[in-house]
Amino acid sequence: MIDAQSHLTEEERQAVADRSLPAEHLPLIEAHLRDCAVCAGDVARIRTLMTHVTEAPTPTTITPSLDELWPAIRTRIETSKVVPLSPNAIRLDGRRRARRVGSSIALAAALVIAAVALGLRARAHGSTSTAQVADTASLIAVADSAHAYEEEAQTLLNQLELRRSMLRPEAVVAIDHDLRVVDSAIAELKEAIAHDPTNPALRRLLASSYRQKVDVLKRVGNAS
Amino acid sequence: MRGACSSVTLAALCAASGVAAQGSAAGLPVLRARHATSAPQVKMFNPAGSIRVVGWDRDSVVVRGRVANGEAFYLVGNDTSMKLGIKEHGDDQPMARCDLLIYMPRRSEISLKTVTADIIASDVSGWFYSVSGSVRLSGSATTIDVQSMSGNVDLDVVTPWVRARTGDGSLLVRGSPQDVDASTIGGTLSIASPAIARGQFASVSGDVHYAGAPLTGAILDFSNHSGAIDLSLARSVSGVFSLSTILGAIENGFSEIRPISSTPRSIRLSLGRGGAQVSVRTFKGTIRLRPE
Amino acid sequence: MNARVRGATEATATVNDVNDIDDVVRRAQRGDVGAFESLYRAHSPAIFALCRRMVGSDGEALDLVQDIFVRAWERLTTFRGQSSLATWLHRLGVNVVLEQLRSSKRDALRLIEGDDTTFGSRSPGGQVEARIDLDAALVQLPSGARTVFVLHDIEGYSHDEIAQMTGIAPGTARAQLWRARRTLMRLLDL
Repeated sequence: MIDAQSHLTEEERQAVADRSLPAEHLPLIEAHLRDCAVCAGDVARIRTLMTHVTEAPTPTTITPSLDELWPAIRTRIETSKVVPLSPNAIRLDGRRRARRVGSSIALAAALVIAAVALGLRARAHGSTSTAQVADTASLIAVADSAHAYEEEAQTLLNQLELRRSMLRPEAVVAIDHDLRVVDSAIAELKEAIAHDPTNPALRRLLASSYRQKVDVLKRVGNAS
Repeated sequence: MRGACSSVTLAALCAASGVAAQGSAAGLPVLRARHATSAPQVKMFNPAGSIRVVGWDRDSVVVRGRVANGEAFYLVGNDTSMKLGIKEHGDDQPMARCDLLIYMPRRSEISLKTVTADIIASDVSGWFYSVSGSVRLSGSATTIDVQSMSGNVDLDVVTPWVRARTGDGSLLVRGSPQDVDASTIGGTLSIASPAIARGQFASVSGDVHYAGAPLTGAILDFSNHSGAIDLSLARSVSGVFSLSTILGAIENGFSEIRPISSTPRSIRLSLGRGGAQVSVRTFKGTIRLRPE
Repeated sequence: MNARVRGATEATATVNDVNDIDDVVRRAQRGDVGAFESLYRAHSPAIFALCRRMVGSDGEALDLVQDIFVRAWERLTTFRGQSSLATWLHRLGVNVVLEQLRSSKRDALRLIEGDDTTFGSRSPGGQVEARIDLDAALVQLPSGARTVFVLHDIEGYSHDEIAQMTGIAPGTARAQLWRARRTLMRLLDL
């Protein structure tokens, strides 16, 4: 029993200060605080701290500012993100380019058709599970990204052809070798997807290979 | 006489610094120093030989080294932004070997490029590129972005963020990087760090090796086309492992543990208390999951 | 005002219309980096404030802000709108900071043992130096006590929520909180 000779425990003082004390204990505690200046003073100081906390200004940054962080964040997310499809990305320019674009459009179309078929089948069965909706959406997304990667890779390949004579010989050998390896992988994956267009694992592997191809081509810029 | 004494002193300094001196020791020693702010931007270029960069706590950039006959060293700029290195000829003649040792403030933002020169750097951050030279980075950094066309890359760093790329060279990730994006085309990719919280590891035809136990809450993604992915896991491992392949094989060394799900080409397995999320996929490479 | 609500409403203002906010979030979820940049600019000050208080260093706080928004980009598709985006970001931010504290092996959640006079700045004469503000005082706490204090008294999480996030028992979290308050009271001359 709390009386004038004993004091509140640390738990009681802290709980009454931050108002987390269970309601049934409150009358006894408040009665003690009315009679005990030591405990009342301590509780008041804890409450002053809490007021101090509430009223303290929010930390702000000076240098570098949060604005200056954004380019680094953008770089990090763009090295891993799927490149979105640009509606005006297709520019027919030369038979080889048209053929490449054609094959990537065909792949994209096959994936979209597969995605729509998935959606229609789900609706026909009267249910569209979350997984099926996600699968359909991601099929469309990777169809978009496959096409976009192909476009980006073609742009970078065109730049490589223009700059080939300015590249160091050892760089040219390395680039050509790496591109052969990656293109071989992409060709195998495209063939597999043509036979199994709704396979999510194949889609992710294709996206990974495309990213690596674009990576290799971007490194060309530093090799001159 | 005074000039000869100076050359001897400088040569002794260079030798003491561990800078390699070649064969007939042709070439001139270089010793330059410049005041720098605490976080200068420093661009460096050395096509052939070696370049070693050390971060330190002084407000200066100091360059020591040996420059081959016929090559020219440059150091330009001011204390917030400078460029240094070996000037290119502008003709087709191969560049001769030059070896540089550079001390700079730890918080410097570096851009360092070589062709065949090897890069060794410690306690510095930034962008490191070599066409075919090897790259070895260690110490603490804020960010590391390292790329090589065909050189080997060896990372033993403490840093929040690493991006590492090489083609046919090998890539080794150690130390305590937190967020890692590493890939090779045909080279071997080896990861032996327990500190990685988020990791994306990929190859096309090179093998990928992971050894240890993922951090609780880590998210690791492994992808390979035709190379193998080999996870050698410590006894303390705790994670959910999702393995899938299109045409390859899965070798599960934890066969005594009942999988969450299993098909001929995929398996989902929870080890320990399942703290990390690890996904592994190949097109036709073998996936191996085994205890250390 | 509840601290957590206060933090959420501190988001600055290019996105203060509910419909606009929903549209920006949806676009960011679909991969629009420009939309995500708007969200970054709106919410990064509050996230920085959280990080700064939890780790006690501007440099580390800025590094964590980067990590948090990269993680937010990766996880944005999991945001379903059941809470406000600010609350979702805040929670994600706390988790990233706690991961950082754990992985940096700073023994983040050890109990404060012994005499509290080992903390804080005292001149040889035993007098506390000139009154210092709250953030300067927070830096002087051990990281475990600072974590619990920031999460409970500033950010408004309950002891049970803190226990869940940090992996320590609710009773331990309470003890950490009380000791943190006592130390701050001494440092702030209260």
